[in-house]
Amino acid sequence: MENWGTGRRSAILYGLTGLGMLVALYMALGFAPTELTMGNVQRIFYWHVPSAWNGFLAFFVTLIGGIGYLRTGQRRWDVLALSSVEVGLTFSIITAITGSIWAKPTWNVWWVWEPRLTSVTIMLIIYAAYLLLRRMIDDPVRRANFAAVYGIAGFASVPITFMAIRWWRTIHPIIFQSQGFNLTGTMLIVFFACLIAFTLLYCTLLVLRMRLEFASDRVAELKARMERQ
Amino acid sequence: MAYLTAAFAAIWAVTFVFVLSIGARQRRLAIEVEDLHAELDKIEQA
Repeated sequence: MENWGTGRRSAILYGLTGLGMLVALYMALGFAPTELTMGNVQRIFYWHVPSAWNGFLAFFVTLIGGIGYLRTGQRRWDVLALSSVEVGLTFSIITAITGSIWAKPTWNVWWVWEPRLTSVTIMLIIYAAYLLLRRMIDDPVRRANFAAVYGIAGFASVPITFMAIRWWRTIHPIIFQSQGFNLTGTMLIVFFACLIAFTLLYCTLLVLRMRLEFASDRVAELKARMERQ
Repeated sequence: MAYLTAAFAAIWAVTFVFVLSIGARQRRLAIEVEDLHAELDKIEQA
C-alpha cells in the first residue's frame, strides 16, 4: 500500500477531475441559461446539488466500508470508511455554505430551521462525532469495529435528510420528483455535467485521503519495528 | 453576481483547505518515514 494512489490510473483520475471541473465551471457560468425568477444566483444550484450528492455518496461509501470491515476485518475497509467520512463532511460543509449564500437573496435569510436544513445539521454533527469518537479509542481493532458499526447506524441520517423536503412542509425547493426533473433540457445537461465533475472530485479527494492513511499505517509499522529491535 | 462569486469562492476555499491539510500531513509523514528508516539502518549497522 506504500505507493497507493501514485500510479498511472490515479494520474488519469486527477487529470480528468481537473478537466471536468473546468468544463463544469464553464457550463454553470457560461452555458446554462439564466433562470427567469432568480436570475444569475440560481447558477449556485449547479454546484450546490452536486456537493450535496457527494456528501450522500461519501456517507454511503462509509456504510459499505463498515459492512466490508465487519465481514472481513481488513484494515483497507476501515481506511475507506474513515477517508470517505472526511471527504463527505467537506462536501456537506460546502453544501451548507453554498445553500446559505443562495438562501439570502431568494428567502431573504441566511439560515432558517426548516426540515432540510435541520436534518443536514444533524447529519453533519453525526459524522463529525464519528471522527471525534474514533480518536478516543486507542486499540486499533476496537476503534475500527466501533467506527464500522457507527458508520452503518449513522447512515440512517442520510435518507432522512434526502426525504425531509418530501415528508414535511418546507420552503426548500424539490428538483427531483417521482414525475421527473423540474429543469429545462439545457439546465439538465449542465446539471449532469457538474454532477459528473463533482463525483470525479470526490473520487480524487478520497484517493488522496486514503493515501494519507496508508502512509500513517507505514509510520506506525516502522515505529513498531523500532520498538522490537 | 456577488452571491454567485461568494459561493464559488467558498467551494474552492473549503476544497483547498482540505487538500492543503492532506498535503501537509502527507509531507510530515514522509519526513517521519525517512527518519525512521535512517534510525532503523543505524540500529541494524550497530
